[in-house]
Amino acid sequence: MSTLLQSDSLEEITSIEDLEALKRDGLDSLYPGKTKVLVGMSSCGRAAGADDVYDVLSDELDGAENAIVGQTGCLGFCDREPLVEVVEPNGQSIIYEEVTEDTAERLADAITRGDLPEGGVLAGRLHHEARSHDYDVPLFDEVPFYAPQERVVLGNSGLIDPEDLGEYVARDGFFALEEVLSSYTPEEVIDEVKDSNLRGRGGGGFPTGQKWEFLAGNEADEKYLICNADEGDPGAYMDRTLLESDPYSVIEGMIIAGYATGATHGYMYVRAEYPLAIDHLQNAIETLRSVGLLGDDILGSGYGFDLEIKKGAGAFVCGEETALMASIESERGMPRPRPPFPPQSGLWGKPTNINNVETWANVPQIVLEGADWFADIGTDQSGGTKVFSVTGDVRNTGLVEVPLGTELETVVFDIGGGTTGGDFKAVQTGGPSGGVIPEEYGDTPIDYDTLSELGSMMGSGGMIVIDESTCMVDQSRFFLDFCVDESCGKCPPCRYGTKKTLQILERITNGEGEAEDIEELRSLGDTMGEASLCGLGQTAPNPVMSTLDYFEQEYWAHIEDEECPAGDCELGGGAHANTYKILHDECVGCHQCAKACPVDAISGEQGEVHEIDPEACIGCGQCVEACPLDIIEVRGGEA
Amino acid sequence: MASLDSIRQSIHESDADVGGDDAEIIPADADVEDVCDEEVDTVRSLIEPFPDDKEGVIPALQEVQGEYGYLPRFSMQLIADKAGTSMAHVYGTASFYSQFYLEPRGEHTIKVCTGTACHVKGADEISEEFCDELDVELEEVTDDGQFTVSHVRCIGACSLAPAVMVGDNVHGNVTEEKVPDVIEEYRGDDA
Repeated sequence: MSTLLQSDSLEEITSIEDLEALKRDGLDSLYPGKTKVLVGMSSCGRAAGADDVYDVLSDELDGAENAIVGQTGCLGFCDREPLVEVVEPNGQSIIYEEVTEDTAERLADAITRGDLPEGGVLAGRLHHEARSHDYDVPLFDEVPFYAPQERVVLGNSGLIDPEDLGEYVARDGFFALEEVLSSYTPEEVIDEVKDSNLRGRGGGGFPTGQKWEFLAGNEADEKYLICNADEGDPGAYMDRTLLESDPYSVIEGMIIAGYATGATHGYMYVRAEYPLAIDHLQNAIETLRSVGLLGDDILGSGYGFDLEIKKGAGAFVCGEETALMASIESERGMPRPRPPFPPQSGLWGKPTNINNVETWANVPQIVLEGADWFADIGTDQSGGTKVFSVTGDVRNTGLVEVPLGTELETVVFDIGGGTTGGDFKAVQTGGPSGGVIPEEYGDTPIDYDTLSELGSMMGSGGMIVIDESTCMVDQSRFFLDFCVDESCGKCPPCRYGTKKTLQILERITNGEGEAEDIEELRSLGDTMGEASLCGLGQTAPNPVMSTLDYFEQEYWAHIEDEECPAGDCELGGGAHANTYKILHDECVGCHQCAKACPVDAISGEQGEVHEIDPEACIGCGQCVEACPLDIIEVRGGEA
Repeated sequence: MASLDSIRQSIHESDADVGGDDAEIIPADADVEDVCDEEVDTVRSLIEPFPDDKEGVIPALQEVQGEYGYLPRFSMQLIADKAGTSMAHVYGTASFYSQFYLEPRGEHTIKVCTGTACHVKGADEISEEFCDELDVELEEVTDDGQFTVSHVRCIGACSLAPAVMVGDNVHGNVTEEKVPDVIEEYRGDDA
């Protein structure tokens, strides 16, 4: 990486003057007085080919006098990666989407010539002091995907080089810490966070300031802070992206909390499956140590804080705070009963506070802009924004940050652009601990309490859009399969309950369900919810209970009619995408489809009703074209 | 989680499969006395930086697995000695987490994501295609010792579903047609 040597060259930062000097350097690096070409290089970008694009641009523009190539994090529109933003010296920029090596080459040529193409454009943006745009392109906040969004936590993502401390400081990074250390008492920090209505972004939604107050109130020779980056919900990747794109903001939030609560040591518990996030965090920690923003006597305040990374080892249950602490202690990651709660007795028996990545990243903004500003963004109950990863059967997938209180439909239709295939059916939030919210509740404002009332939960922010081709029973089966695997096995309600529930769901999706199964599922769910030891078991039945609440008729269709209304699951044909079915009543036995089938998946003699073997079918669709009567239905998936 | 005996048995079976290369693979059940001094020294130097107590167990396991691709028994004994704990504790910890492998793996593990978004977009078909193409079952090592196909929980690349991770690289929007290309990209490479 270009900035690896940076930590050697940075001066120590001991005062606000030092910070301001670094801010000037950072601004020079952000806006170098020539055209800056920024390649979005978080995991999504890289997987879509950003590395090659970066190489091409660097080679082509190597030695160019009017341009410089740099890297940045995630711009959120994962669907359109790789994204490249070209910022002209006057601050106006164009963001190009789905850049390939070829288009990168052409782009480099154009930049050398000094004019920018207007094709392949996602949006234009105005940076720094720019006020107007010369090109005929839609502006960033006019693009439907971005228009309803408010980027507080993601403000630096896709703008700064995540490995460059100077660029973070140029965006007022560490000025919040400086302000806190120089003019706040610890109690005032906690009051500020309480007034902001910030609630835990990991899913539970506990008021953050109150949590800090518990820790501050407990005297001990050592107290710990933990950043929970064990993002395990399938469908959620905002924490990974934040750590990759803006690691310093998370660390700054933790140091501020350390000062407020009297903790002097922190741990970042990060999934080992997130190598890039770990790299960027490691770089950030080393850089901060070298300039004195981690370690003893930060900014001459007398307060000291240090931080280390612990890599998770692959266990979903470690997202539960007591299990996470066991894992840091190198034990099996099993939860224990509470009380005592972590602020009383946490890591190694010492008072401990755990917050999620996104929660920490909000803290510097609250200090900089004020608690009132933050509280005003959200609802009466919860301040600020929430980042969601919007995926599934939706046109625009990506990371989306909206004010709390935004309606679900705004996210699905305005930002997400609607569903890809069939009609919108539901949104799944909260992953395996959450549930579905059906289409008729689309006008629900997103908040912790509103989602809970509907039987789902905020969770860490996964939002999976489901269209009519997805079987709700199968969806529940998928989550229960996950929970069976991830149940640590300590408490019987979860250990047996998840297994038993899964067996019933498998039976139903195989067409062997019985009428009593529905009652049995509800009763198992109630028991697990009441009696399980930790959040994993208590919430494991949520996917089943909520689909039973809203889509009970789908369960009955499987049980009584042996039919999957969505044309999904085993009953519906075995695969989600492209399942074909010959309408028996209308088949005349012309045998055309069987002749057309390249894999002999269609059986039936001339003059008899024909049948497609879903196991053998590869979904090529040739039978549909061959059928003279148009009676082969495509069920589910995209035709 | 498989019992030690069944793991041993599977190692012996997979040793036989590996053929000419088996000299390089340390059997999973080798005790400290069974392996040469150099191997012991290698593991000792790998785990040296970590704390001499229980706290160091998981980082040490991660480091050893980074080198060997799995956790041979003798390495867990050395870790237990250093941390002042029992082999049972180290084994109990290692077997709890899905990241740790107690039997040899291919040079490259092809991790097919089975998270929600990938599931919906056909992860099962992708994983079958990898297995067919390499002629192995899930979690088996290919005859040339190069590949193992494995399922993983959500890797957070949901917008690129279905996704596959090999080493630290994420391959997005994988189709059955792209499977051979992904394999070729790694064939012959050292992990």
